[in-house]
Amino acid sequence: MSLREETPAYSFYDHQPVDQTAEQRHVANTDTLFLDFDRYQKSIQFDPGRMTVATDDNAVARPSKQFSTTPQAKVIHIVERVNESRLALLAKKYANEGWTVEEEARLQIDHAKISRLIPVESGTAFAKLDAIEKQQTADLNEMRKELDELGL
Amino acid sequence: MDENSASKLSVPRVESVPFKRNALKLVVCEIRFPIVVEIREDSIPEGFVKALRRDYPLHDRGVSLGFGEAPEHAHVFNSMNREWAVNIRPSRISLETKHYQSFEGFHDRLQAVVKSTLPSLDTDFFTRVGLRYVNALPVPASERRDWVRASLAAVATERELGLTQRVWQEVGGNADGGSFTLRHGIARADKQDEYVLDTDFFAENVRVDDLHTLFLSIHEQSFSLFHWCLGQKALDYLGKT
Repeated sequence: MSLREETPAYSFYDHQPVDQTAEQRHVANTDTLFLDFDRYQKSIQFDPGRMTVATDDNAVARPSKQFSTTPQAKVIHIVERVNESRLALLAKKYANEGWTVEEEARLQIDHAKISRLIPVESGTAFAKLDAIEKQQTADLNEMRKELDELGL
Repeated sequence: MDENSASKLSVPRVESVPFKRNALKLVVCEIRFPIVVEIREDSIPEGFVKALRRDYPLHDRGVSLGFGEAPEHAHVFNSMNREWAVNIRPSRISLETKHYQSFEGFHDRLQAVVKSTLPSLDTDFFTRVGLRYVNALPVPASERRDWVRASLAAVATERELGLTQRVWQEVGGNADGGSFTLRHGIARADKQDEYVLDTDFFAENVRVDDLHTLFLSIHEQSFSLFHWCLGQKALDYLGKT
């Protein structure tokens, strides 16, 4: 008998807190920036010097959200809650007030959640995204033009 | 017997069957999890209350005491008849009863508690899972022999020490999938001596999905160890069904 309502889609690796981030993604994935961002990344296949859009174009259909830089309220709420827990734990850890295995475990989980929800992206990564967006827009325009020419 | 099995508890495995008499004073399953800082002395997240309200509607605050541990404030959720209680502390949840009837009944309740509180616990693993059975056998002061295995009761039955009023010993070691502690000895209760057999099996870093299997295993080992401790008089007193 399983204790879960449904089998999680992720696997468990030696109880590393990264699993918690997968759980959190499940919670936060309704119309959130980050999952769109992930899906978008997965939907792009790179050829040398050129990229093509894969068949999963669900993300492409909602371009406005893919590149939104404003996390939605739900994500902000989760981030605030996790950060509050993380700060409380960090304060205790550095006050040397007796540190337990359970506190360390939660701290690692919180760290991983924050990393997932607010990933630290480099300037290079943003430049690549910008290039991808431009290429995608150009491809879509070209496709529309061809469809117009064919009267479709 | 290879070296590995020799280093672990190897009492004969005995199938758990209910006795005619019940010597159980207390049964507790404690699960530790990555701390939930929102569980505070004066408040607990609504998710826990909602999860437990149906079966444990009486919410109270208490203080939990453990062996060698500082007292810690706990939120206690009691069943309507107060025979079952769920204690919640920032990094522990436990189900306990002083009215244990069957393993199946206890197991079902534990499963329900874990399933309903898991979203609030917000974890995929438990740092520690322990199952503790406290049995107390009514041992007459005049005749202490043969109630408990002779090697365990040796000190309590030494004539040179007289009628000892307090004997308490603790044994610990490795078990299948975890560790065990056996605390045993003579205690005075209601003007009668009791021989207490307190078994505690526990495992660390347990995946949520493995809880069921682990629980069955440590229950079986607990019963086997308890059975191994019993002397003939205790077996006669408890009576086989």
